[in-house]
Parts: sequence; structure tokens; C-alpha cells
Amino acid sequence: MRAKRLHILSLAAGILALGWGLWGMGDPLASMASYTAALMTLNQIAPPLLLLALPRRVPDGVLAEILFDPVAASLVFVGLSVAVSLPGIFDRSLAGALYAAPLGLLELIAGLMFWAQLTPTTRRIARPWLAGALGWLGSLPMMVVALVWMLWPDVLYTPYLDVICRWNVPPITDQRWAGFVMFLAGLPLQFAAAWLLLGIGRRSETV
Amino acid sequence: MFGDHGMKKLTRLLMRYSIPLMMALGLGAVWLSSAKTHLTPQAGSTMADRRAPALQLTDDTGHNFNLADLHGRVVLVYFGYTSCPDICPTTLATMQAVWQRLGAEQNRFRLVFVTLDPAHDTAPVLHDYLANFPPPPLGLTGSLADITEAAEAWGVEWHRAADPRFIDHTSVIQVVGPDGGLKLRFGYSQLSDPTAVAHDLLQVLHAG
Repeated sequence: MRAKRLHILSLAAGILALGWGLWGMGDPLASMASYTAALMTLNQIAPPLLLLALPRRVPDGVLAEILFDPVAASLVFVGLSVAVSLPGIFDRSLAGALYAAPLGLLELIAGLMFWAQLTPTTRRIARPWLAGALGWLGSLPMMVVALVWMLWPDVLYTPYLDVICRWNVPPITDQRWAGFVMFLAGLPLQFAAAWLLLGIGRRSETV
Repeated sequence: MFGDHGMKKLTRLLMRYSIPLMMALGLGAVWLSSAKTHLTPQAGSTMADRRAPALQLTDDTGHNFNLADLHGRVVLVYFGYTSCPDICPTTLATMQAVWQRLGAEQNRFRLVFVTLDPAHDTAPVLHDYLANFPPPPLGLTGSLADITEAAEAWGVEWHRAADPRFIDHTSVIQVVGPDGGLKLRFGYSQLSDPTAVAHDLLQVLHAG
């Protein structure tokens, strides 16, 4: 009964997060920090909540093979982190083009696929420590991007330069906040990966 | 060539990696499209596809202005004020260079300058100020309430600076297409290449 309640709570929280993330995508040029918060909600907050709401293990099958393959998930997650963030730093026109792409949906799919490698009902990697290692390694590009945004001395995305954003802070401060938001958003993934890597859950079961 | 078993394996492989493949193809298509359609890189930022907010104020000749009356033309909307020491006049001066590059289609474009200081920027003040930037933009003023409402609708943040002579404000030119939809926006630093800006504007015009 308690487990059922937790699943329902998780589902409700996941749907709320999904709704908030989608609403936040409405005005992506208002502020880099707010846009990043919306994307990270779709990529890092909603997916684990939605996956934890699953009441039982997703059976093997064609759908599971497409959605939960570890290699495919890693390619999508890491590929999206790099493709969206790094070309935007080095190629202004590509950043403009990517803005037009359905980034929110891609972030959600990538987040669901990657988090599925760690959550118990969807994990396909037999050894928890291996799943943890994959989770931790896969999260590194995102954390690197976050650190770059926080520490770079110049504004990296031209559309945000000289624009007073919704909280009336200079663009460089907006960028640093965006990096901090991304860094914070990546912490749950790091903790979950560490949990599996160190076998903390398993130890508590055997005691 | 593959045989039945080989084909099954290949099909299974393609299905398993269908999402990363589709994502790679999608992002690749976006990249190629961007590289192909822009002879010069796009200077402005594409805006989400929505109708431009209403803009009903008083122009610098004292007549009522309605953005809807400019349907069919490309309208550039900029919020500033005449006492602005640097950003506003620099932006307007840059737009002169852009206008020269629009060629014969110049008259299909209109730049409107909405004042954030209606108390000071009356219609005659606006008119005289904007005459310094030929072809002169159309100045818009109104009551403080109307200006505040317009600025909010257009996503322009502004407030009096510590020195009350100055107003801190979002410096952005928002481009409305001939269909009345928001198309592009140019921040201050995105106006550094007038040729690229003119190219973007002509693309908006021809896209309809």
C-alpha cells in the first residue's frame, strides 16, 4: 500500500515537473538561466520521477529494446549534451538553428532513456555497479558544460548579450546562473550513479 | 547480400538504435539547413512562432498608430528613449547602415521606436530626434500606462536607473513579419554586421 502511494506521488510529481518544464519553454530568450531550468526540468527532474512511478519491471520486448538499450541511451544523452551546448559556443548560427529544434522534447526523451539505465523497473544492465559507472560517466559532459558556463569570462551566447533578463542581472551573471542551474540539476544523477556504483542499496538489503 | 539471418540482425540493430539515429539525422538536418540557407550566418535569433503583441499608441505626428495597419510589411520594433546616451542612438545609427543594404525593397520595411520616457518624449520631441536617423523611424508615444502595458506585452524590461536621467532597458529589435508573426530578434551585439542583418530581414520579407 505504501509502495503504491509512493508510485502515485512520484507520478504526480513527475507530471507537475513535466508541466512546469514545458511551460518554461514558452519564452526561451527571456533568460539563459530560466531556459536552462526548463530544459533541465525536462531532462533531469521529470524523467526519474516518471520512471519511479512505474509499479513493476517493464518486460523485455521490442519497445524496451528501443527505449532502454544502454548504448543507445548513452549515445542520445551524451550526444545531445555535446551537440546542443558545444556547437552553440563555437558556432553562433548553429545555436540559432538549434533554438528552432524541439529541444524540450529531445531533452525529455534523452533524460528518460538515460535515467532508465539507473531506475530499478527499467534498468537492463545486470550489474548495478556497471549501471552506476555508466550513469556517472554519461553525466560528465553535462557537468563540464555547466562548469564552462559558470567559469567562462565572456558571454557565450550572443542572443543573451546586453539583454536585461527577467531578473535584471547582467548577461554574464545570467550565464553563470544558467551553469549553476545545470550543475545542480546534474547532482541527482551523480548521486544515483554513486549509489549504484558503491552498491549502497545492495549492502542495506544484505544486512 | 545479407541473407535472412543477416537482414534480421540488421533490422534489429536499426530498431535498437533508431532513436539515436533519428536524433543524429534530425540534428544533422538542422545543421545542414542552417548552413545551406544562410549564405551569411543568421545574425538574429529566431523567435517562437506566435503573433506579435498588439501595439496601439500615438505616433510622432500625433496620429493614432496600430501595428495591424502595417500588415504586409516587415516591422522592426525597438523600445528606447531620446535621452539615452549610447545604446539607443548607436542602435538607430546601425540600422541606417542596414537600411542602405535593403535596396529597392526598403519601403517594405518600417522601424518603429517606442519611447520608454513618454513624459519627456512627446510627439514633437520624438519626431525631431528620429529625424537624425534617416530614413527616420516612426516614433511612438502614449500615456505611461499604455507604454508600460506595451513594454510588458513585448517582453521589454525597463526601470529608472539610480541616476534618474537614465533608463535601464532591454535593448532588442524585434522583427514582425508581413503576416503579423514574430520572426527574429536582434540584441545589441547582434547588429555588428549590417549585411547579415539586412540579409535576415530580406529573408523574413520573402518568406511572407
